[in-house]
Amino acid sequence: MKRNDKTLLIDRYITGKLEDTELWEFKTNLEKDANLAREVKLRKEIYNAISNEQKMDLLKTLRNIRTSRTKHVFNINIYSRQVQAFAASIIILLAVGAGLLSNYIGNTHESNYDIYNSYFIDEGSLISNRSDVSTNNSLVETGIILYENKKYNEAISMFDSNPENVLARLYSGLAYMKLEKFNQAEKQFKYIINHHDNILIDQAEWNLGLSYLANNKIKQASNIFAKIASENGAYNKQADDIINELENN
Amino acid sequence: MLQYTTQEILKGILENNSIIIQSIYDNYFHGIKKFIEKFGGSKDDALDVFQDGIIVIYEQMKSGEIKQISNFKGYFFSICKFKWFNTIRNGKFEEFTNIDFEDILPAFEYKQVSDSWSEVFEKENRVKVYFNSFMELSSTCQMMIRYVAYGWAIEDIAAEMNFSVVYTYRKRQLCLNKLIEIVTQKLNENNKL
Repeated sequence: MKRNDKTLLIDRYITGKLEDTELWEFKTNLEKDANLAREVKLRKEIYNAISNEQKMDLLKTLRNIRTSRTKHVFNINIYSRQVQAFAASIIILLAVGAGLLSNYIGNTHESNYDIYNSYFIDEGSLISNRSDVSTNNSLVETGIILYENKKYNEAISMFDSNPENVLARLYSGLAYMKLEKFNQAEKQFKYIINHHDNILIDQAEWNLGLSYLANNKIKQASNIFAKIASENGAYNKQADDIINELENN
Repeated sequence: MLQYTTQEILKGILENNSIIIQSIYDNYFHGIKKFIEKFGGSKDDALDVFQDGIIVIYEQMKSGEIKQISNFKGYFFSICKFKWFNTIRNGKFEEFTNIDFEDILPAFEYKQVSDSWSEVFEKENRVKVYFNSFMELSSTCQMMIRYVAYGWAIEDIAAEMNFSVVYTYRKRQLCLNKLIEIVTQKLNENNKL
């Protein structure tokens, strides 16, 4: 490592770490070298911006709002003949396909997955907007932004670097659910539940139940939904509904 | 209508209260977008302007420059419209270059306009580029550059991140080069607009 490395010298100059002789020499070079002066100015501005954490946080908030408002919406004219013909052919194909499939696989798994599908709601934005849930960890925040941008694999990598952070675990679980990797999702939710003292247990239990359901682990799913239904939490009514649906299945 | 008082809104912006900022968006973005679309802009432009408007108010609150504001909406709209007016006057949209700002703004909004906003916008454009470039880096690079910006010695960064000193030295160099490259590219793109 060279102590007189140019970029290191710039850093030490910007952060006031140069000693007297070095400082004098550096300032002389700055006066002579316009490129160096430009680089120092740019680097100084960048460092000032980055180290202003309050401002960075505000920009992140604005970025999140922007991201959530720029999702693409596809408009389809349902009155168009082509669209109607296309939809009709899809329905016929689906009907034929479903008939054929039912000869090969049991109905139960499919309907469990249907139940899962009808109850799973992406709660990511609801969680990050909750006033009682916050994180000062920039990696977790970056992961949340990636999650909200539907970059689930990249988000998981961020959350993985914070294995003790329960918010990261919850988001990681949700990201795995989005990727339909329910075994991995289960692990994340179980960690939160076993961690006990945290405010995300309700969400963890609910999503663990849904992951079991999607994974066709009916016994485990029934047990956890029964527990949720017996408590006075946010999901007790829905858990009760799922138990009824499973019983009628 | 916003359910918060002007003082609560200003405090909310200063303290990065996401509920209040979201509420400003929900209540006022549509109006800003309509104005910008009327003068040649898009929803994306409106999102940019909304962000710039909030940042100007944040900076004014920070520096104590902000005067008594009785009507947040009027003040915020003045800033956003002034920002867009500057953009179109700077040649992005030829058909609007001869418009006089006073003619297109309600009198109570025009009264609040300050030339000092232009300086803040210019400075903030660069800060936005730095922020967006920084966010494109890997998490390791972000962390490392943040420590560099705080003035930490390589040895301290290495210890904090559990890397060897030699690796930290190399990685720091790579991260900085990458950041400068992205920043330069974005600044050049902005200058071309």
